[in-house]
Formats: sequence, C-alpha cells, structure tokens
Amino acid sequence: MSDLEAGVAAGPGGMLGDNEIILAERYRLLPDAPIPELGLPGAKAYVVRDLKNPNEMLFARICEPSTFPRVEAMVQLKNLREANTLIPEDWGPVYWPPLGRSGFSIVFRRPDGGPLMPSLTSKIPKMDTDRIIQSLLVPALKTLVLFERRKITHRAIRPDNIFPTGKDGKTIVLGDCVSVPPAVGQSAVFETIESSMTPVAGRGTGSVLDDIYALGATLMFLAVGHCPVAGKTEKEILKGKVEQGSFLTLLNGETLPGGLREPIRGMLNDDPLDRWSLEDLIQWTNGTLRRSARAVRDFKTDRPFRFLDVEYRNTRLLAAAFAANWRAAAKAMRTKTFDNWIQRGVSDPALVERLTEAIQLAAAGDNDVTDAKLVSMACSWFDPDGPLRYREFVATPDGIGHALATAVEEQDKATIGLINELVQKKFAVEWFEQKIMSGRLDLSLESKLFKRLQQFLRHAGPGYGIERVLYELNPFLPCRSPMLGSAYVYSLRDLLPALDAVVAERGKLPSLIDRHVAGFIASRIGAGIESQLSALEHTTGASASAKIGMCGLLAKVQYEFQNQRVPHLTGWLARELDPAIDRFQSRSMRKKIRDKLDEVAVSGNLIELYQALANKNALKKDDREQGLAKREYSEALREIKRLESSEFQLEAKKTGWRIAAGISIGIGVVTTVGVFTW
Amino acid sequence: MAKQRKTGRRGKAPNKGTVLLSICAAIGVIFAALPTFTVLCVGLVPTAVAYIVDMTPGRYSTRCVAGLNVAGVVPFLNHVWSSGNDMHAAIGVVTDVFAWLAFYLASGIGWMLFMGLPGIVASIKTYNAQRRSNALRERLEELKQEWGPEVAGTTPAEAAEAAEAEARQRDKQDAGATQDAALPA
Repeated sequence: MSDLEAGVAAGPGGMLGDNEIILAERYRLLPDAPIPELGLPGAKAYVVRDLKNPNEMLFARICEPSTFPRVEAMVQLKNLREANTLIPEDWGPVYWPPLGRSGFSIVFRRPDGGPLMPSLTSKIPKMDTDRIIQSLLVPALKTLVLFERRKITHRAIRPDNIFPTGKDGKTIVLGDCVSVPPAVGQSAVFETIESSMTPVAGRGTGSVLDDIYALGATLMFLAVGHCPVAGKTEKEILKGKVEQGSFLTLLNGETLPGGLREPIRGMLNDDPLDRWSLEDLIQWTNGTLRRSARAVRDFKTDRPFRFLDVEYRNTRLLAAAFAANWRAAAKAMRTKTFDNWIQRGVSDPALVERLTEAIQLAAAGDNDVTDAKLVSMACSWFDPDGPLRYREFVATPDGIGHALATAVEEQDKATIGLINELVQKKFAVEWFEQKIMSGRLDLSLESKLFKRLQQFLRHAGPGYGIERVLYELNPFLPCRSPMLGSAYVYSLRDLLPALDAVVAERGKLPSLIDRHVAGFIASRIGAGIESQLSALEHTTGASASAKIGMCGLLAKVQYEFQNQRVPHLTGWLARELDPAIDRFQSRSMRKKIRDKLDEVAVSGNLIELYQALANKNALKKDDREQGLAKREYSEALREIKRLESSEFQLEAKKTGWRIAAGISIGIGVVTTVGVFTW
Repeated sequence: MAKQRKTGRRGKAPNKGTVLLSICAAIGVIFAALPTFTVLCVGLVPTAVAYIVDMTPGRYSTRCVAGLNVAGVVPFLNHVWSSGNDMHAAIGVVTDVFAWLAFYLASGIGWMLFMGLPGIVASIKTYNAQRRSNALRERLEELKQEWGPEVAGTTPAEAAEAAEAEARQRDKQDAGATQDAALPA
C-alpha cells in the first residue's frame, strides 16, 4: 500500500507530503522530531505544530499497534478544560512512517517543564508540605472530583507523570492518562494490593480509590524527595504491603512531615472501605476533617498454613499463592491438615462454614473444572477485595477486557481459552453475583454484561465467539483482523474505507469471511443484524449464504455511514459473490441479477449489492416458479406421451366408431319417426 | 349362514317357470304379430349377421349396421301395417326384390360408415395431436432453457452425463461410418 493510500485508509489523519502528517486538518505531526522525555513504553512522543496557532507548543503520542489508548476517556476529557491534567486536543489514526503502518495519535498541549521526578530511582529536593498541598493535592483532588463525576479514572498518577506548568512553575498538572490502558506503565508501588496482585494487562480502569492510593504514594515520595522502596522488587513490596500495610512498607523507615502523615496514611489505607475518600481529603485540606481511626482488616490467621513449603499467616497472601498453584491448592484443600487449619486457624466462622461446604461439594466432582472453581472461590473468600482468579488467569472485574485484548494481541491462546471458559461456564457471573451478595453493588453492571457475553459464546459462527466478546469488552479496541493490513480501524466509520484500500492495493481481500471483522461490526452495530449473523452461523464459510451474510454485515456498515462509497470493495465482492447468483434457478433472473451486479459493482454501493443478492422474496418467487415449471414440464411430457401412444390411436378409432354408430342410429330413429308420422 | 347363501343362490337362479312363461309369451306375441315378425326376421338379417361377426369392443359394427338396417326396414313394416297387417302383405314385402334391395343397401351403407368414418376421425385427431405434441415439445425446450435440466427432474451432473453418452454414441457412429467409407470397394 502506498503511504497516501495507507493514510487515507487510516482514517481522518493522513500523510500529505514527505514526512508531513496532518491530523484533523490542523495538527502537523513531525515523525522526525521525537521527544524522548515525554515518551511512554508503547506510546512515543513527537513534536506537533498547530497550523491554526503556530505558537502553541504541542506534542503527540503515537500508540503502537499493541497499545490500546483510552478513547472513551479522551471523549470525556476533551471538554474538561478545568481539570489539572493533560487534556487531549485531538486524536485519530494516522499513517506513521517510523512504525511502517498506521498508529493512533493523540495531541496534547506540552507542559512547560519536565516531570517532577524524572524516574523512581531519582532523588529530588524534598517538596515542602504547603507546596505539596496547595500546588499538587488541591488541584489533584479537584481533578479527581471532575473525573469521578464523569466516571473515569486517571490510573497514571506517579511523580514522573506530574508536570509543573505556568510561568512560575508553581501550578502542577497531572500527566496524560489516555495514551496507554489504565495502570499500564504504572509501577506496583503506586498500585493497591489487589491491583499489584493482578498482572498489568488485567488491572482494569479501577475506581477513584485507586487514584487516591496512587496520589498518596506520590505525595509521600515528593515529600521525602525520593522513592524509599526503589531498590526493592515488586514481590517484596507486595509482601511488605500485605504484612505491614502499604504506608509502612512504602515509607520504609523514612520520616514524613507531620502535616502530611495523616492524609497520606489515610490515602494508603489497604482497606478500600476505610481508605480516605475525596470528600475526606477535601475536608482535610479545608481543616474540617477528623476521622476516627478504625480497626484495619489485616487478614491475619491465628495459625500459619504451610503450602508448598511456605508458611502463610495471611489469607491474602495465601489466596495469591493458591491462585499461582491452583492444582496443588485444590489437592491441599482436600487434606485433613487444611481442614484442621481452617477450624483452628481461621477466626471468621462464616468463612470456615463457606469453605467447609465448598470442599464437601467439590468432593463429588474430581476434575479440573471443579478444582479450579473450588480454588477460585476460596481465593475470593480469603481475599474479598482481590482480583478474580481462575486457574492461571488473574484480572480485576473491569480488567478482563484489556486482559483479553492483550492475550489476542500476543496470541496467548491459553489466556484466551481461560477467558472463554470463564465466561462460557458461567464462572465469571457466579463470581460477580457472589461479590454483589457480599455488598459490591457496583459490580451488578458487570454481572449483566457477562451474562450477555455468555450468550455470544453459545454461538460458534463469525460475529459471535470470543472475538465478539473481545470487542464487546473493549468498545474502542481497533479491529484486530489481519486482513486490514496496516490500517488502524477503531471506529466503524473507518472500516469500509480501510477494506476498500486493501482491495485497491491487492485486488482482493485475503478472505471474505473474517471473524474479527464480523465480531467488530456486530459489537459496534449491536442490533438488527441477526439475519446476517444467522446466515454466517448456519453455513460453512465457503457457502454462498455465508458470503452474502458477510456482505450484508458490510452493507449494514455502509447504511450507518451513507456517504461512504467503496467501489473497489464492491467490485471485488460482486465478483466474489457471482456464484451466489446460481442460487436463482431461473436463467432470465440470473441474467437480470448479473446485469444489476455489473451496474452496482462500479457504483460502490454495498447496500444495493446486498439487496440484489439477498432478496428473499425474489428467491421465494424463483423457487415457487421453479416448482410450477417442473409441474408443467412433467404434465407436458405426460401429454406428449399420451398423444403419441397406441392407446390414443385406438381411442381415436373408437371415437370414429362412436360417431359412425351415432350417425347410423340417428338415421334409423329419424326414418322410423318420419315413416310413422307421415 | 351357509344355508342363507344357499338359499340366496337358489333365489338368483333363473326360475324355470319364469323362463317357460317368457317363452310362451314370446310365442304368443309372434303368433299375434306374425306378419310384423316375418318382415323383421327377413329384413334384419344383415344386423343379425353383423352381430355375429362383430369383434369390436362395444359392438360398434352392429350398431352402425343396425341403425341403417332399421331405417331400411321401417318403411316396409309401415306398408304391412297400413295394408291390414296380414300375412299376405308380409309375404308381399319379403318377396319384393326392392324391399330386399332397400334392406341390404341400407345395411351396406351402415357397413361403409363403420369401415370408413373411424379412419377419417382418427386421421384428424392424430393430426391435431401431432400439432399439440410439437407445441408441447417447444414448451419443454423453453422450460429447459429457462430452468435448466433440473426442471426435467435430472441433476446437472446427470444431464451432462447423458449428453456425454449421447456424444460418445454419435462419435462411435461417425467413426463406424468413416471406417465403412475407408473400406476398399
């Protein structure tokens, strides 16, 4: 594909000349001018010139194909000018020469200075308490309040993503939170225990409480001038957080200024229910808060449990260990030792009862699924705030979508299979319902969503299956179909032009029926495509009905975006679907449709193409007329046989005899009557 | 039950008395209308002959002859009845050569009708049938053109196979003809 074509295929942004890439007819992106200090893993930064306002200092982040930006958050942030965070000015896919393909670009106003702390290992002068409160805490709280109202989270609050701005550099803005998925690139230091226990891909968008935690850690490091745990591994930090609490672990013996100790301790509280909320913090900054300290849930056990040669005195850590070795955990849970331990070592009688009952129920079914479910439920009870753990898969409730996207991108079939199993075997729904029962009412939407996803997995055809689940869980995920080539298609609007460009370049698509394209369209359009999906499902991919079904899906997309004409795609589809004309039995009808297809092929109108081929009434009429023709044929054949048979000759002779007899008898009667009358 | 059947069969069997009575009645009628009977016996001989030799289903030759034979006899019967209806008049008729001519001429015309008319009717009907059959064949061809060989109840594969077999047969015949032509005289 030429650069220009690729640029056009990429969507609104395109490459207009040598190294000149324009986004939204306003922003000139300069691939030759990278800004390494503003780059993120998976989203490098480049200089941008504003064509309307040349003095404006801008930069763009270009997301690599495997990095999925948070488009839903961009839409919310665009009009949130009062928030103290980097606001995306514009965004969209562009052809990016350094990548050799299209990438997603996001343009930001460039902060006046560099990050407050270049990296976690850097040491900076301690910031004084007043500056931290006035320049950072207060604007950050204001921003998080705005975020919370719009139900978005930042999930990238850390010292190297906070910038001074303004002439005096006293105002501080939070960095970009939309270029990479939530919590991606975020060290476990800034993540809560439950999030740290989850792989990066499965952390999800989280809640404002996660942002408060990250802000608390950030304040702590700025106040002490460095990260006290920079030299520790993530595993050590996590262990420390679970056993001693986040505050003590992260402080690592350093001393905090007295004025900040109380709020930071509250922000780093490991119990989400007891963590300081935005209201608490705002009241504290206003000097009106006094929260009474509550007992912290420490998940400690009365006695240790030995599992795989390690003694565990904390159920959260045991849950993590169980999840990491679920087969061994299932075996261990069925032992007398475990039974003794839960009876004597676990102080919560409700937990003991639930565990005992689950083990007894699982005793009946001794297979992998039962074991996995048993361990999973036990983990959930041991660590109520923890992530969903199922076999080797770990993700937060809202992180399953991103985990699946990452697995698909990395072609991690094992994880894809686990997510498939999780949804299809209803375990995810059961897990959510159990959490809802225990008070997590915020998960009711997720529960409904996963019930819907389960229906999609019941069907195997294109437009359903795990691909559909992928796009349903990630509403802004670009279509992962390999046949789109280098195009970046995250919106349905860009799909047909991208396919048209592929056909223009290669003369054809690698295959007409593509599970990713079908799933992408089905999830983005939603309703009204059941007949097309059914055509795809109940036939083999090579059949005419399936091809027409796929053509129908593409026609639906064109119906959504009426002004899109795709002559190359339509022409190729018309050729590809030519055998489908043979579904009509009538030769004259075939000719009529063929003529119509020739006409439609050059017009680029997929809707007419689909209507010409999928006209059910015409098909029914054709079928009916064929039946009549068959009947007429057989009747005519029978009639010819009759007319040429010896029986017909005999019958003709008999008729002659009848006539002769009739004439003779008639003359006899007339004569008799005549003679006797006259 | 068996007894009943037996009784039933007995009931259906011609009653000897009835037969006797019928014969007596017929003899009575013959003697009562002897002149008429005499004329009919002589005049309807062709019909009787036609009846005997008629092998056609439905005895059409008998019917053809009988109708015109009756037409030939009736005027003479009328003459008998109008001349006192006695044996003298009847004998006059049966000995009249013109009467015999009339009986046999009329019967002969009947025979001619029987032998000639069916051929004409059959020819006309066959001609019409041929025309209809040709029209139907044209329609069959049209249907095949429009709907393909499937309309005849054969699959395209079967149709192709049949066409191929036909072509093979034709080739074989052509090859035979060429071989014959190539043989020395």
